[in-house]
Amino acid sequence: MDQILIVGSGASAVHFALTVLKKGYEVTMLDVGYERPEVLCPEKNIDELKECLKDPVDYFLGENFESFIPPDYGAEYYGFPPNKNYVLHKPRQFDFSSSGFAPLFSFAQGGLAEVWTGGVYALNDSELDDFPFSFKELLPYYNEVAERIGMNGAKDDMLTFFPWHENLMEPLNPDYHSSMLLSSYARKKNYLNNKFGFYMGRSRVATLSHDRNDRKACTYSGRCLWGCPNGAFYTPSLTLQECKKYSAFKYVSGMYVSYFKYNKQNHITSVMAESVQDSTLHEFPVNKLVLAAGTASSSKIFLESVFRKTGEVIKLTGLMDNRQILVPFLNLKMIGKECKRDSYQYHQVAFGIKTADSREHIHGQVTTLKSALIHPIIQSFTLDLKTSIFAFGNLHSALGVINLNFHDVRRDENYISLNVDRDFSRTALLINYKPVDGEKAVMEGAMNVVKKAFLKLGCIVPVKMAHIRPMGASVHYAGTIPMSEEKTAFTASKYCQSHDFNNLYFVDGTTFPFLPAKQLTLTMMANAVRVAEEAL
Amino acid sequence: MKKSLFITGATGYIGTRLLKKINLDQYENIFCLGRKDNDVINSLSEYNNFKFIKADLSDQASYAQYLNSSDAVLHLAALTGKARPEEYFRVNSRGTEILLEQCKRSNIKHFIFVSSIAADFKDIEGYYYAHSKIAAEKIIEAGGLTYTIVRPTMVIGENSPILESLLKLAKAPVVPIFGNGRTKVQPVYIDDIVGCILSIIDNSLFQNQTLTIAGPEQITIEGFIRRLHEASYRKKLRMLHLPVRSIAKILLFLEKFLLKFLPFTAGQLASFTNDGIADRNPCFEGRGLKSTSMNEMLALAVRPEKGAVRNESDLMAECELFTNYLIGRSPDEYIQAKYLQGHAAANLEKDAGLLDAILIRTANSNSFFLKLADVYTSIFYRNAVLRKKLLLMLAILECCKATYHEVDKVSNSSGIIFGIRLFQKAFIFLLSLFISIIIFSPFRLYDARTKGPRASAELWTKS
Ligand SMILES: Cc1cc2nc3c(=O)[nH]c(=O)nc-3n(C[C@H](O)[C@H](O)[C@H](O)COP(=O)(O)OP(=O)(O)OC[C@H]3O[C@@H](n4cnc5c(N)ncnc54)[C@H](O)[C@@H]3O)c2cc1C
Ligand code: SF4
Repeated sequence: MDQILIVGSGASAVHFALTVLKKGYEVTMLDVGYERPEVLCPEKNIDELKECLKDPVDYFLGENFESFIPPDYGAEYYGFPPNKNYVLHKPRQFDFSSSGFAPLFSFAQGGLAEVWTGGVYALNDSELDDFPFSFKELLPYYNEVAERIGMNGAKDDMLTFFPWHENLMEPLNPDYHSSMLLSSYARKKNYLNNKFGFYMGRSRVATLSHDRNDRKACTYSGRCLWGCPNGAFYTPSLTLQECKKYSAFKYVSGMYVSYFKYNKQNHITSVMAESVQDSTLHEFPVNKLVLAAGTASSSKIFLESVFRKTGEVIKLTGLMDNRQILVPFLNLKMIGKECKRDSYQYHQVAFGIKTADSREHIHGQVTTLKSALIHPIIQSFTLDLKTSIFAFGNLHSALGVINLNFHDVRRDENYISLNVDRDFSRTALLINYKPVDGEKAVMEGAMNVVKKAFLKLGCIVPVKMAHIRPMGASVHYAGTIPMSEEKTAFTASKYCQSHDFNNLYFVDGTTFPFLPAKQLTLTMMANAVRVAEEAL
Repeated sequence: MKKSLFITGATGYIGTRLLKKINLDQYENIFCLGRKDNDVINSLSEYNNFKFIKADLSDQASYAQYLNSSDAVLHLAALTGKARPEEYFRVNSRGTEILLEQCKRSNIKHFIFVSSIAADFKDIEGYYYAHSKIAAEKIIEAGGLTYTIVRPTMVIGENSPILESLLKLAKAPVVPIFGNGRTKVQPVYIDDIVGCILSIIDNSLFQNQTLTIAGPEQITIEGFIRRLHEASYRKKLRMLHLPVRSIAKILLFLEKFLLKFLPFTAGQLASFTNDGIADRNPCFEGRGLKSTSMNEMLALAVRPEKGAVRNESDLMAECELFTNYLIGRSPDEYIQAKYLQGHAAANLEKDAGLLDAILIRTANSNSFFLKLADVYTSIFYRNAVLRKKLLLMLAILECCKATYHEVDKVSNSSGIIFGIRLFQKAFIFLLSLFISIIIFSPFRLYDARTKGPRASAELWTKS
């Protein structure tokens, strides 16, 4: 049978690979593939962990105290966990520059979703409007991916935004704060629905609420931020492990893919990769090439290949990302309650705000802060630190963070291209992004609704403390080579087959023609399975 | 055009430091010859234009091809420390000769040899290392290639061999000073040597010349040992002058049989009998290269013994005070060690100004003043170094098993009592704010007006 060469081992790559392996293809996966460090004290919950670790400060703050957040640091509410740094490590072959965009890249086994927060939301028909297929056509693949990753969700008011599919487990036990919010909502929902178009319910998360096969259900250890120790929380490296069980699967790590070579008929003949260890060049013959290196990296490989062959630097336009805003809030009913750290740490509550055009609805998630480091929050009080500790202790259980997400559309001014050295020896990825005019008004409108709706739920939202994250920070990149019915340059078919090179496929976000406010990864995985099933 | 550089002895002290500093992009290729690799070599090995050749100088065949494609050679390989005379000559003189022959065949354009100030010593009886270096210099001068010979004086840097042995000496309960201690040294910081060497290679400077590379200050050997002692140890310094010539004679005799067991050799005493200084220091003259002062060099290279320097014991006391202030208990050793480590890692005091110094000093008096400073900075100076220090303390406390409960707990008191506590806290806060404004505001105004040199930051170290 055919040979398939896949670049990347992220969420999209592994689900594509697993599907074609099941169909009997031979698969080679090229990856840089940095590995996760050993999990320490896997049996312990977050508090016991502090006792079990030999050097807890090293674990939580990092060897060089890189997760210590001093007051002049900026406004993110928590530092990046030191033991997840490997996910963002870059090989020396990779370089980039950007304007208006703060991009993240991963070269790890499993990719960025090794540090994701597991929100998994299927898109509905209106959100799929620009895609060349409907929800119904994608549904079997949502079902398949849900079965593979193990996810949960509830049939509640969020059905307004989140279509139902199969293989959803029942939700995790909510922590006390989340259930307080939900019960307040239940009492006020008519008002909130009618007045603000505001709906609330359980979020959908890629976490097991039951034991399944060899994975254990969530034990509510509270360690999510530092990496789930027992695989209850889904990350793509779990599926990579599954792929590795197939004898037809060859995983080649330590390889940075630079470009592909193609002939006069625009048929790709091989892929050129550089060893990360010794920079030696390796050539891999290509039958079918599948790029799943993440939208930015896949675009870079595409651009570099054209550049190497023709000397031409092209622009791939239409880059999209979700604008995100983080807003802290205080639930008055929770003040003075004990804060239980041993609970699931990412969002358990989601909400949506309707907009005139239903594709553009605003998507929100609520995290009740429990085991995250507290010194970044304590310092935000206008009190001396000693009094702040006292105040925080009594407010901790009442604190939460709202994460607001906005949709994005493809626009010509937002693009990915290359920067080329004067002597043509080195190229760097170049990203340019400008937010759409009128974005500010949309954000203010949304914050206003959030403020009022949450007040109704008994929460104070200090809008002044909102942190508008820079573009690029949400890491939902998409849209540079969109699916299109027309066979124009730099587009792809309904089956994500390149219109420029006949044996090239993209299965990551590259081909999305539209980016709804909901996180895209579930749809990316489902789409990868769809392409694997239908195109090959 | 970019050059290709061939380095021998790349894993030695100067070589390792040089490789850490070098910008690989500026060279076509860098070839390194050495007998065993190390971390720096391994980390560079992933670069395309870097190649490590594991071989001995005498093994020409294994490195000739790389010399053929090199423009310049930096010859660092040398035997130092304790060894037999014939070994010194085999490696330092004969080794240089072999390398030089091969360089001629490969048409090397510039041969840079790192010799030693010892080659300039007058009194070198029994100092075979110096003899072997002199011989090597002669071979190079007569060799017909374009050369530059550099003679570093005493090389000071983190763990530099000479520093290590002098520190060992300075640590002794009674520090032996050989001779009258009045011979002069002119220590030079390792990175400055590296800077000089690279600049000589890159710009093809000092062709067919021999030059000394020295630091900016001269000092007697006894004075220098005294400085080392101050920088690293707490105890009082006691010195004993010993007759250097007779000791050298005895050592010279013993070396024949007992070389392995001797703490040092007669030759190594040469620094006590010869001035190791440079009248001119051409590498630094008018060329904008950094020449690190002795103070700076010692601060960079000498790690103080635990609790040796006032600053470190101050930090321990500070940690004790802060922990007690924040959570009402004392830190254990682990927390103290982490505070020191975090303080250094976050380089907290680097931007401190006058107001910072005053706040830190005042806060260090006792918990009353600490409270005042804490309140003041929370309103008027949120990026204060003091606030950063307290936050670092808090960040550490929240990670540790013994203390995390204390920084994150609810007050389990009933409504009324809680109300009273709240009122009490608010009252104390406002009162403290009032007092702290009176105390600190003048300094704040002064600080804002002067904005001058920040030297005043030294104020906070208690005397
Ligand atoms: C903190 C955080 C939270 C997130 N939360 C969510 C969430 O809740 N819900 C959600 O849906 N999404 C979330 N995301 C986004 C999600 O992680 C990404 O959408 C997803 O990981 C993208 O997967 P991908 O397959 O496109 O590739 P990536 O994850 O980008 O992986 C790329 C893969 O390709 C390899 N690779 C890249 N370039 C090369 C090259 N040149 N040569 C060889 N190999 C290469 C890498 O090693 C890696 O294996 C989050 C992301 C972050 C950072
Ligand atoms: S998902 Fe989070 S809470 Fe659940 S077991 Fe994993 S780390 Fe613990």
